[in-house]
Amino acid sequence: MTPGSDGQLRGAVRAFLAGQRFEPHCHAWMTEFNSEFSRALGRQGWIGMTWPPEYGGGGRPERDRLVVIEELLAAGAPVAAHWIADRQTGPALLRYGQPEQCRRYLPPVTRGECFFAIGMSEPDSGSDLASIRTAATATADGWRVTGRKVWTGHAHQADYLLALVRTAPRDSGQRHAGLTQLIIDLSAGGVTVRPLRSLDGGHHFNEVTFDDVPVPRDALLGREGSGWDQVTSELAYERSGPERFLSTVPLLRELARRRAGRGDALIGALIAELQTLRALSAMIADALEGGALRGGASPGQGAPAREAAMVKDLGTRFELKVIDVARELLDTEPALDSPDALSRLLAEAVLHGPEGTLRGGTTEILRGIVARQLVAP
Amino acid sequence: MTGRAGPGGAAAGEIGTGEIATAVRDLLDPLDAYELDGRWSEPAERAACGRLADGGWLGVGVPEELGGPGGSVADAAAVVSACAAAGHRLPAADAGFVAGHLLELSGLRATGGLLLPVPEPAMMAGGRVTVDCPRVPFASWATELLLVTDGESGSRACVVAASDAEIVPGRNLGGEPRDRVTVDGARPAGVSGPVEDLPAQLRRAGALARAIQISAAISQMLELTVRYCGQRQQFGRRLAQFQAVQQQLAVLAGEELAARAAVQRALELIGPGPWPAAPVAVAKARTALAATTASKIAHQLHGAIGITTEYSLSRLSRPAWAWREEYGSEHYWSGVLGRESGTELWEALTCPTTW
Repeated sequence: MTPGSDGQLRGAVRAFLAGQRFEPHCHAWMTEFNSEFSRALGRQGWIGMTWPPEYGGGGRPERDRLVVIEELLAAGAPVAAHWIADRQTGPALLRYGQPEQCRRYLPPVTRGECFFAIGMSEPDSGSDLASIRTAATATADGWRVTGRKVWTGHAHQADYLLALVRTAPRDSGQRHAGLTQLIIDLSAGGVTVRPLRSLDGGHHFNEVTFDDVPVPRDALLGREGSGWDQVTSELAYERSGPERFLSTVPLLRELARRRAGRGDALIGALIAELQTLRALSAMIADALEGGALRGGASPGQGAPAREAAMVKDLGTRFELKVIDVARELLDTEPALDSPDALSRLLAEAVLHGPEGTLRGGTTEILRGIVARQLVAP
Repeated sequence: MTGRAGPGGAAAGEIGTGEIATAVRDLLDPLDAYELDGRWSEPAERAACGRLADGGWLGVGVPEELGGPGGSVADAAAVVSACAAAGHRLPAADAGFVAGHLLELSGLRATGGLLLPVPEPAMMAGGRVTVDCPRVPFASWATELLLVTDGESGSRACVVAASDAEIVPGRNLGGEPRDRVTVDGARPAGVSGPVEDLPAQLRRAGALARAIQISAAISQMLELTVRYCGQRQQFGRRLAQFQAVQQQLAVLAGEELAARAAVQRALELIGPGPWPAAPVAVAKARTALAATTASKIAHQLHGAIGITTEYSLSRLSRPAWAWREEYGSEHYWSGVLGRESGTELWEALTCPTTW
């Protein structure tokens, strides 16, 4: 039932991690871009491990992937480079892409040689994604894209950006119409990437400006005008994964080593939440694999989407509770430059604290989704 | 139903909605044990209990070969869940789920009457048992009491006739009988051989039973609250149309989901034989935490109607407040989890055999 039941694979991941050189970080799946680590992981077959073998994937069940990513996240390993493609862009390509697109993009992704970023939010469009303005104007052989995306993680290091753009003018009657997903080559002329420094001073996020960027026809993902449905169908994956509750587990692990028998009940209360979240995440992974992916309902709608929203809400609040317990149990001043791992991990958890309940859908938006499905309009 | 089959039987994911739960709800729902002003009628509830027993539901979880109606752990959980969701005050959790686990481990036979476990361990000396336990579930309804001993001769299960005990009535917050039981050197009607650590197994079975009850009560609170907010109008709008209300409904739904998942996870992880502490501890700690948040929101969104016994919300919230503490609060079980997780926390949590 729990991901813990696959001891052999878990052991293999731990053995691999023991042979890698990295410092554990909180929120490493967002912050630690390390292409060398990603390539080493790719050689193990642990990127795209559920994808079809013809596209370089491992054809393995979702539960196996869960074991691998749980171990990577709990170790605070530097997985940010391939994270978005492995979690989100890859499955989107498999669901909506042409076979040529899958053949082109997915094998290098699984080798850790090709990295994707996501371009959704804009300066004037945060939670209200349907209001985006970045425009793709049709040309003879594709589009020309003009506009701006913000909070694009690692756009300065990624190869491609899966962007949500407007291919038809806004229609006040149909807010979700006219949106399209395009795969934009970040090395194309007219693309400018400017850092948006995070509270830890690090360069993880960017503002990406498109100035009349030519985008070829074959960069279209799925159907023109279906961008909204496609994007929302990714959300169940995006919201129910273990990165929504394991971001501060590297801190929790260090805390457990250092607490010297104090605070059993405080630590245990975190454990009760964590084990429940792990079970929930696994249940949703099963539901997505069993129903949604085998030609069933879109994972953007119905029970998995609602439950995924609840997992993210519960999970991101759990991540913050780890900070509270660490502060209560150990009198450690958080400092990013501290040689003490506990102090540094606490600093990372604190400075990235506000992000969890914002990224991937704010808590308020998620609760709105849940409530609307509970109460018929 | 076949013998006690460990995990499986009815799918654990359906404990609140499967065939067994539906059958029990169908039986119980017409047998209201409350007066119009919301006062509980013990005679009416005893009649409902009799109907439940006649239907063969009361002892589900007690193995057939030991004289019970049989049923897997999941089947027993389904009965417990349905009784809690129905808002009845019935000894199904104690006489079925908890007693079933103890009888299975000890090999002691069911008595055919209403056999109810005593939560505190008894002393046995010279073939006679002694116990003084202040809060025994439904002891005043019992025909026999099921005691576990942890004396010098190892831990054993034994059955004592209720007539050999002094029983002083009491109530928990939910109004359920929690009676003081004093047994002073009684000779048991039956004693098992030695069984390893039976008092701990009793505590775990009791805690998981209460977790199942809490989870069922929260599911019903959510249903009741969603329905109420969809009907009640203030300022010309349904409550459910206010964003502030929607946000709280979603938090309630999240707690309901977490409680259900924690219980389902525990039911899948326990097997035949002794149960490990950790899955039970997770279930009890998480559901007790959820009970606090969920009942707070359910009452807040119901407004004043929720604070009268005329309305049914308190048939869910009041027992849930009591069940949080019974067989160990979330603080007790969190302490167990904290201690057992040691210094290498993640390695402990991912250990498939004990966690």
